Amino acid sequence: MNRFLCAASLLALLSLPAVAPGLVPAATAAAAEAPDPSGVECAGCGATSSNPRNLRHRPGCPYGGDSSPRPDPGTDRERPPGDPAKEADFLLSMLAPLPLAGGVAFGGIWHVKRLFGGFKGKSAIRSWSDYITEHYPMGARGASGGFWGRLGGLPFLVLYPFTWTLGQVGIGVGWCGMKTGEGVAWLGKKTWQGITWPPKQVYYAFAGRPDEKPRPTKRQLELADFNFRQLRQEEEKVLAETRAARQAAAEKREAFLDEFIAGDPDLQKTLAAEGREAALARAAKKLDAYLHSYRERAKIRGDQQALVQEMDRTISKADQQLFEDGVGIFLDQAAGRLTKGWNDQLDSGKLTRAASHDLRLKLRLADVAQKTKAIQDEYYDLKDLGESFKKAEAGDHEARLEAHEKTGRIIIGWLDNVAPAKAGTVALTTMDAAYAATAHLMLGNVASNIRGDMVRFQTARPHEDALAQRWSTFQSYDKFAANAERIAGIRRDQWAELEKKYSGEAGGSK
Amino acid sequence: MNARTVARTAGPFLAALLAVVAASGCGRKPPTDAEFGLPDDSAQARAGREGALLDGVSAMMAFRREGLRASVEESAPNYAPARAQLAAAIARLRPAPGKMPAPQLEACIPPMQSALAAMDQVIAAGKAGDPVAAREGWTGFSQSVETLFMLLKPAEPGGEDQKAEDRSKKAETPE
Repeated sequence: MNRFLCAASLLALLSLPAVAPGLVPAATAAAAEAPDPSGVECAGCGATSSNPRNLRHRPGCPYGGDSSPRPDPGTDRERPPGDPAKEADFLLSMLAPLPLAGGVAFGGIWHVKRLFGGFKGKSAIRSWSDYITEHYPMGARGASGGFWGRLGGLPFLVLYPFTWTLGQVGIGVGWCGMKTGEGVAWLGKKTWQGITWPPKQVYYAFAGRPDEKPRPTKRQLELADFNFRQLRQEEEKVLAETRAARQAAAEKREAFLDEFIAGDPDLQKTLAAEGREAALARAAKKLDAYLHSYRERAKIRGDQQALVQEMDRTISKADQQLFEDGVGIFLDQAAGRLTKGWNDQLDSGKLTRAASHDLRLKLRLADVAQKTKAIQDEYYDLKDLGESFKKAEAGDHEARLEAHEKTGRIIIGWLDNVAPAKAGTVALTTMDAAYAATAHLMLGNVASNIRGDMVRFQTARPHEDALAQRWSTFQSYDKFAANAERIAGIRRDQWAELEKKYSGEAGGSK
Repeated sequence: MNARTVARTAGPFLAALLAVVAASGCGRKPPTDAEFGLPDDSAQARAGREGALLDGVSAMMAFRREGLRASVEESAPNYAPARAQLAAAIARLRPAPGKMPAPQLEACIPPMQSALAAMDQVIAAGKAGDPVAAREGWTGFSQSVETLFMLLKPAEPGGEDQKAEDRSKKAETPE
């Protein structure tokens, strides 16, 4: 602060010599205009006076012969007469307040203008001096008056460094305030929009970016490597097995083809003429043709079988009824004989293991089937009866009769189970047997006709069909083994790749 | 500008930078084993997988038994329960998406899948009345069973499984 004050006063002092010379010519000009002290004479009226200011013209004089008297000369007695330099100084001192006031006013205007960015490209002192002197009111009349004007404006020049600094600080404070406002507005906007807090950059620094996977530990990478190595080793074993299986299947297939060639005179000729490869290719082609034919006939058979099955169901229903009543006794006996025969065969110990296993299975199944059937029949009878009773309760007269009849049947059936030789059994058996016979007569012919067709289709080419079936089996083996090998190969490669990846990562993280 | 001034002005910035670096480096957790996708090696999970395998095998047995029953009784076979059971067993045996498969039982999945495909062929052939396709399906099924049988070795104490377990335990311990 002191430095600024010193600089300002120094500048003021320096500017004085530039102001002072203005005073000297003014004083000399005033001295030159002073009259001759020896006396003057008017050229118009001839009046004389030692002091030109006190010259009294005669009336009618063209240079001032008016009637009005001159002011009283006694009033001028206070001024020291006869010293023009002093008089000029006095006059100037009388005029001084005007430029001083102008300097104050224009200094103030300059101050404000300068603070608001005026006077670009000029130094502060130069612009201050120029602005005050060019607006000096007496400048046009030849009087400079710069000293008083500058003196008036000096406080504003001295004040300028402080106000400039304050202005700069004010701009800085204003800028900071604006930025703070902007920040608060941004924060408010983000909060209003519901953006999570803390800001994402800070969050990411702690928790990682959302698309960035956390880095696994070395132990995890080693475990993964170990896991995939094991998988690869297991899969290599599987691959070896499937490869062996495929080779075995190919061998079986080739053995079958050889067998086929050996039994076929045409292929024998081909073998002799064109070699083994050609014979094998031709045999495969021939077997494919057999299989295709067999498949086509099987499709036709399938359609017919569906029809036959439906008719068989009707017939077997009738048969069932017959079996249940009376006829079943003989069949049971026959079955008993059959199972007895099976048991005898088993006891004989002459059977192979597979055959004895089959027989045991059949016996067990027959046993289970019989038990199941007995329980099932009773269940159905009771269910049927229940439904009839429900209908009867609803007022159905026929259903009531039906329920009575069914009840009777069940009772007779139970009696039949307990004592087969009762009288009621005979009538029922005859009735059901008649029903079964009618069903056989009605449907049996049609079914037997279709069955005949079916047999004709089936037995048209028995040798070829058998070959086709075997060929189909071998092809299935081949297909399965090749597919299994392919899958095992793909998986082995996959595990090997993953093993390599994780072993690399585990090695890299050390 | 001497060194002291430099330290005084740059010190807070450096400290803040170090704090951010430390936070970014140490703040993040490594993934858990489950997140990383390692197979669950607990006894419970292993028992679950073995249970699934047993379920699959029993479903295959049920399928064959149903076929035999239908052929002996000359009735329509109902393969649906066995098929559903096998499909469920495969789904339980297969690792979850994004997880690593467990090596011991992973190899059993392909034969079970091929058995499932063979079952589908048998069922479809039965519906279409195509005995040739059905026989091929049965052949594929038998092959699958054979493959599975080859893979399922009886577990012996001190055998391959035991060794694998020991190795996995060794890998877990930090060196």
